[in-house]
Amino acid sequence: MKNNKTLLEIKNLHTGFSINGQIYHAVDDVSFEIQEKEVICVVGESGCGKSVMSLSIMQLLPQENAKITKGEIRFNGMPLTNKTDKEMNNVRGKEISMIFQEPMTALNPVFTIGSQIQEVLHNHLDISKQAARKKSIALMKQVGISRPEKVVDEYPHQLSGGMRQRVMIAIAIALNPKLLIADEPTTALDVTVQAQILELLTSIQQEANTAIMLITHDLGVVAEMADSVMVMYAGQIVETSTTVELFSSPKHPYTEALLHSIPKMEEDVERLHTIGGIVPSLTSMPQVGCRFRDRCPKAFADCRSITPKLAPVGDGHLARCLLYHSCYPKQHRTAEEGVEK
Amino acid sequence: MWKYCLRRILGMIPMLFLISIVVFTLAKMMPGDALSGEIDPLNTDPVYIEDMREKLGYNDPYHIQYGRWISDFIQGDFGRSVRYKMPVSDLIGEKLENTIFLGISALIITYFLSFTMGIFAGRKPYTIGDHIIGAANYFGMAIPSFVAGVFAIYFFSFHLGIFPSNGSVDITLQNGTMEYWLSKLHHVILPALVLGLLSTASYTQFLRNDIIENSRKDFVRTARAKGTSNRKIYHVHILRNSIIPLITFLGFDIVSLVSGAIITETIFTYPGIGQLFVQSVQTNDYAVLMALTMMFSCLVLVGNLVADILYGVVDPRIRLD
Repeated sequence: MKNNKTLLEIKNLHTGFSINGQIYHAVDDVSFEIQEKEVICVVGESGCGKSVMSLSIMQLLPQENAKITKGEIRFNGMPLTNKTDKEMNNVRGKEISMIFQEPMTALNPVFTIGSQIQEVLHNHLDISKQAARKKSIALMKQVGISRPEKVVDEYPHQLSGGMRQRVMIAIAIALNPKLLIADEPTTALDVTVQAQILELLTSIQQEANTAIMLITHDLGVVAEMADSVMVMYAGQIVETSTTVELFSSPKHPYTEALLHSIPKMEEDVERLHTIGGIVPSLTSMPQVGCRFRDRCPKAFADCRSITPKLAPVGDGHLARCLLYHSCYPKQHRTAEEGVEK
Repeated sequence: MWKYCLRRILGMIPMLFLISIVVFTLAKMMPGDALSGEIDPLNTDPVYIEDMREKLGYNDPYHIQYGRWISDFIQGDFGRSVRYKMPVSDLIGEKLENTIFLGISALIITYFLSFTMGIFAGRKPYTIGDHIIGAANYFGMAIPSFVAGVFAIYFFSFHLGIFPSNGSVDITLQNGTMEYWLSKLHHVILPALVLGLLSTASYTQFLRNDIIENSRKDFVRTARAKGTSNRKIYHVHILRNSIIPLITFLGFDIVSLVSGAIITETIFTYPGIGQLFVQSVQTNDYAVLMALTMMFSCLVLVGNLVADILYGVVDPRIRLD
């Protein structure tokens, strides 16, 4: 997957929510790239800014209180951040499309499935009604909906969650977008359906060469699908690398803890591993120091006073932790270990 | 669907029967009767009045009177108006035309204004425009129709002289001509405006709030992710969902369309059902009174049925099979 053209380039993205007149950043200085045809996974707990980041790319943030305050988003070299809503409409659904977490509410309850798939075709193509109908039936067949000729005239409430998510995928891939953002597409579905949906996404990626940005907190999904992984914590990227590298040698304590939390079949344990504490809320985010320090088993005194930077720890492997700051003497780190815990 | 309608219509029969008993009892419980106000007891032979009472059947036991009334009523004979000396059905028919005309005109005004303002305010909530609309609406709602009516007559008829202050048509004109209909329209505008503006406020605010609520729903985000224009999102995706709760109002509107507006019709001396109803109460015109009340009850039931059917039309989730 290396040496491909860069499809999406994000530089120093800051997305802020205004709460009581003050701006709090849910996405704080995030930079990364997505190559063509790549599958990149974004992992992290709830409240880490994963969804806000993906909504920022699409510029679908809630208009009344959220906004990109700084940074740049380039798609195929074209800057998206200074586009108007109208200009973005030409990108959304055509160049970049998105699948959401909740298939139960993501479709409009009063319109037929067919009309909701056809809408995206009519938005971007000059296409006749009959042609759009035909195309929508073909799309439904492609995403594995049985008897699409009937479903086309049915309403969302007549379909199951998995079926609705397939409809959402059909809408998303209708115009062969170059990038598909899937925001926890399987979270609301039961396990057997999850596997089917992921399989579907993989086959789409392989057939249509679509790059996929998959947001998930299921590391099993990551191992199965991703070329590279981005771990987010409290609005920042804390570690990024290829999937193989991340699973074999995780660097950031948060990543380690996440991997450790996966229940293992061969182990017989009384309690499952968890990470104590919760993600700091937007309003109580520490301004200086590491944001993970209060929950980190390896934290030491300087974690409070020195803000770690995203630094290289290997080939294409970055981590945001003082442990890997080359300027930081090793003995110093261990000296006060445990004091903070 | 047809089965459902039939079941609902059959269910109305016992309801209407009970209503008829209540209506009849209440009408008979009113002090006096049709003769007590109309005939001067000092000038007329009391024996003659008693004779008339006997002839009209007012002295029969109540259950016999009721039986006579209800069996005639079911056969479509609503009796004769004592006051107007004509069959009740003709009398109501005559007034109904005016009332429906007024009702529809008022409804068009209400719908036009509330949809325009409601969509505007819902799209741009908490802006100056929204606040102005909100203030105007609550102001309009706070003014009783008898005040609004009098002011409207004072300004538009008395001062400016652009609209007539009473009646439903210029009586010198020939029925059926173009001028006749234009005159009817000219006469209806002022009462329709007073009547229409009155209910605009609740429609507008209801629609506004529902649009705001729906604009935060997930399906709106999906539509935006498809590249749908903001205009289409509001006018198609959100509006289609927001009219569902308004159907409840429509059920009531069907009733008010026919039952008329007692106050507004009285102020503008507009010869409609509302006025007829008040007169029938004042003169103990039993046949008219009971026929009208039965008609209103029937309409409430039909209005509810129509609203329920319309729910199914606009909302596929509650489609009736």
